[in-house]
Amino acid sequence: MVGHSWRHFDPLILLAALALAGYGALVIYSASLPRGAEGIVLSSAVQRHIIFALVGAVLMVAMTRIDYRLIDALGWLAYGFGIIVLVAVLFVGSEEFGSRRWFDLGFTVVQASEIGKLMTIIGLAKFLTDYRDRLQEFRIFLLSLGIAVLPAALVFIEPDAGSAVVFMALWLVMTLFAGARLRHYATLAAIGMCLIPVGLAAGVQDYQRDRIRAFIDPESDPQGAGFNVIQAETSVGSGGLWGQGLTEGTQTQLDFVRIQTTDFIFSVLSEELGFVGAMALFALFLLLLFRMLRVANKAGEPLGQLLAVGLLAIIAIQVFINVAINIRLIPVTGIPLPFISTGNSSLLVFFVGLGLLQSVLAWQDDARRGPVH
Amino acid sequence: MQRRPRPGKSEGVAREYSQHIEHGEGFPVRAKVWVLGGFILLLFGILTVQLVRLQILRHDEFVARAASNRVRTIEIAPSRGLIYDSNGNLLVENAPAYRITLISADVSDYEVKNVSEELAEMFDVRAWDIEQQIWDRKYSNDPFLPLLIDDDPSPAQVIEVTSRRSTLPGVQVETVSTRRYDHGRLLGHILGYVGKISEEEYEELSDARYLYSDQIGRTGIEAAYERQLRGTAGRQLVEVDAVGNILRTLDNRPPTPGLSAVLTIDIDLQRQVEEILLEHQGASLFASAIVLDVNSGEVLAMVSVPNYDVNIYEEITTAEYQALLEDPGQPLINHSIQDQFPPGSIFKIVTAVAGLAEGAITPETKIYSPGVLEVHNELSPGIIYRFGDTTQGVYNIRTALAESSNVYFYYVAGGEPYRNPENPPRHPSEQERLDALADEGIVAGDVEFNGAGNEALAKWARELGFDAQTGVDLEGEAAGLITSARQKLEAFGEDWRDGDTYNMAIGQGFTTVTPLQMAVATAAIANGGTVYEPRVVRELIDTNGKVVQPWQPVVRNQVDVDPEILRIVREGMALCTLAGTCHDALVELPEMLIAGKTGTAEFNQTGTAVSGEEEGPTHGWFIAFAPFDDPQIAMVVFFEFSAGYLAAGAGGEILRAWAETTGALSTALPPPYARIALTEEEDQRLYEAIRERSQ
Repeated sequence: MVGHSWRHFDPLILLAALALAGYGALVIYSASLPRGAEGIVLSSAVQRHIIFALVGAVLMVAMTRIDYRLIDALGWLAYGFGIIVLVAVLFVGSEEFGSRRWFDLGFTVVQASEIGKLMTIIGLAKFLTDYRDRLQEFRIFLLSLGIAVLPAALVFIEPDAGSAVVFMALWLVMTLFAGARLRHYATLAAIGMCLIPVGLAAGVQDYQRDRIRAFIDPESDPQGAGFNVIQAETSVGSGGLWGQGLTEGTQTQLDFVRIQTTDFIFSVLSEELGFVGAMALFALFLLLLFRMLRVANKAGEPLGQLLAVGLLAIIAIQVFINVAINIRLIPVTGIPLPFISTGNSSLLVFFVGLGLLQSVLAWQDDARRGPVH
Repeated sequence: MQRRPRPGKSEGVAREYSQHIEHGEGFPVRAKVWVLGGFILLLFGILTVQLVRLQILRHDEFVARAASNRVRTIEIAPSRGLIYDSNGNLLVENAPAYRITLISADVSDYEVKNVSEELAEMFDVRAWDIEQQIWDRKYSNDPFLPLLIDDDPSPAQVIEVTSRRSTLPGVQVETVSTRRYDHGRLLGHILGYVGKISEEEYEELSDARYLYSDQIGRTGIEAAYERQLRGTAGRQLVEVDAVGNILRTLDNRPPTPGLSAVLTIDIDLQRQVEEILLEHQGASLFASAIVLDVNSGEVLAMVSVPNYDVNIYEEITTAEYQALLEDPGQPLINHSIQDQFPPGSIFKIVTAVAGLAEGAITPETKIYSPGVLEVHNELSPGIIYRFGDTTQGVYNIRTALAESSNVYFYYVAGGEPYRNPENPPRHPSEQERLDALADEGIVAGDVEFNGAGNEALAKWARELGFDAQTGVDLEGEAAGLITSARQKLEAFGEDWRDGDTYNMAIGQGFTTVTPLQMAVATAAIANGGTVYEPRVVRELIDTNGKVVQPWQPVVRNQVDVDPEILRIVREGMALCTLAGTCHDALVELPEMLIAGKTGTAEFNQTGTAVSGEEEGPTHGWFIAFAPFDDPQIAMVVFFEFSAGYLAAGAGGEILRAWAETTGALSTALPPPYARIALTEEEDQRLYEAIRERSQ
């Protein structure tokens, strides 16, 4: 029978995602352990992480039943919703650390850019599918860029430069995959180069300048902007091969590592579980990413392929950026580590996104037969 | 189901597309999937390489860094040394006080606002100000340098801060000590005071391990003995968490308290000297007195009035400080050492030493004073400079000192006055009288007489310690001035005139001295020529009372002069008390033979000396040593806008106070005026003088 088929459901994707979330819960447990606590104390952050992972798993399975090709009809609506969310957060979002990124729903906070990411993947996938034969035109190429730039600009003014970078990287991977002309990127890059001085003058905030300086020479300001860079690097380095042991890292437990359940959670993991723990994490991510790559391979039509590639791009980029910051390869910017960092909306969005890919798998036979309907 | 075509290297992209759209198929993905997969592996490869570098290759380095992270050094201020007077009376104590500070590094970025608001609520400060300061310090070079929130919190505030410590990261209650001076006014100039170390000093003195909250000596002993009084800071190594909570102590080196200073000052004598000065001050804007041990240079009392209470520096207002600054008596200045004045006639003891030592006079040399010395202008006949005198008659060195003959010392220093041959001759009767005196071997008129000269006078003055700081262990000492012909030429471009030498002979003209220099020179004449470096601190002791730095007199100079010469000067000074201008001192203390010299020094509006030709207001001086037979102390009294004989009265009272305080009176012999070998003429003069005074 053609149509939906559970036969294609990929349990490895589900298991890898759950394993990562579980790993995350473990690290969050250690990072949020109150000083002097005896026995196991599960902070609310850990509990929520587990609960939302389980809810996410259920959603992933449920998503499998929904025909992802609804996007063909509702894609723009979804993208529009994403944009509205990103605009709304600037006005009604709650402010923390000097930026407006979150909606406070009472029982949880929702990070607008997480919703925006998924909706932008959908929007770009829809657009690139519809215009795949005209992507060679510079005008269409520019339009695709516009679809990504709009949400990127909105998160940039939150301000959240890190997420903005993710949006642009997403666009790059998806359009490359869809076969845009290299010549067009070159043209764009040339224009971009000319605009760099303007952008630096107008767009770069003082805190961003500090972070770049702190990255290049953290010793110049060890207690200020350089503090986190130095402390994260110290944590990772002191972990060694086997780590200090879960809940045993002095850097983590004495709070020298800041924002240790989100941006710098990798340094907690590395300090306490060592190189071996980090490799285990990488292995889980690689498993997940390659199963996602398999989805792109299996999907018989462009929409499914683009959805898979887009989500894969987001996860790969975020993992790379987050880890690279922790080990001092690139300047500090606030990017959570997918599935590991606290952040309920991020966790849910990734599970839902993976659900979309399960849907792509489930409907692949039907999709290959021809256009929807 | 169709078999999807594999993308070939040579196939055109556009053609492929058209095929797949027709069949509703996806992009030719296999190659791109491979590329994407490879790219993902590359990214993870990069991360893995860096992880190997950090976690495997540089592991040890980061382990050490993590360890140093959680270990913090806490400096512990030493308790400052105390100060005792010569009889062991405590003069200063360290009173405990609290202050509230905040370590910015311990306040995380998102706590800054809360902490600032809570502090603003508790203390009378604006939240915005604190917030700004926290941010500034947080991102400064030294975020662990505490910010001062309140330096005088109420007990209730201290308790509140302590109890709310959990919500006030970085906020701490520090115990500090403040100096409380027991005789803040009486000893203010000597003790000095301490003040909070400034940012600049803190940075300059970082090697000496000062703490940001330290107090540092500003004046007096507190400044001069800063290094010894301060002690050495202690150091504690503690393990802390990221917000600075101390988890445990790893190492503890307690601070070494500062040494305590024992003064040479006797507080009782000091108090009496102050009372005597105030009683005699009259119209004087200020006055000073010093009592010095002639055999060691120890300062037994040193008073400068008006004075002020150094305790006020704890909380002085700008207006109060301004008032102190503008007070015409200059209470902030220790006039005993930080101010200099023309000495007037007390300087004659120096001229006497110079004249005798240079051979210009002998003890037998007699000089006639007609009451004035007339110097004729060489170029303009008719112009005559008159150098005054307050007495007239025939003097030898002793009687000249006793009665303070100016003319005698004009000759001693400058020789006979120039007489212009073009001027009309003297009145025959006067010339006759002068000739008659000359026939008796008395220097009179313009018969040739070689004085010691200006350079010799300057040399002997410097031998006795003038024209240089005495080296007393107090801050801001003035050096006074002794000028010679060469220096006048260099400094003023003017030639030295005979008149300059005459002025210098009687301590006028360019000459200025400090009261302490006078006391030191007097002591040197009394003790046989030893110029001591005066001291206000006798010894330094540790907290157990053990003497760490014992008393050690410092000899600055041993004047190379025949002891007989000094004896003659001393006798002249004794005569001064017995029958001369110092008689007012004798009245106050008839039981003991004391030797002295008065000075009534003219000064002009700007406070500098005027020459003997002019007349101006005068300062009153009196120097003395006692007892005459066995000198123990030298003393100097100075009154601004006064006269020598008035100073002598006050000086006599001071000497009595000393004699009674120390019990010297009971052991002193009664005034043995017969013991001074007086010549017949001296005896005659003495008799006449006493008779004159008793009338």
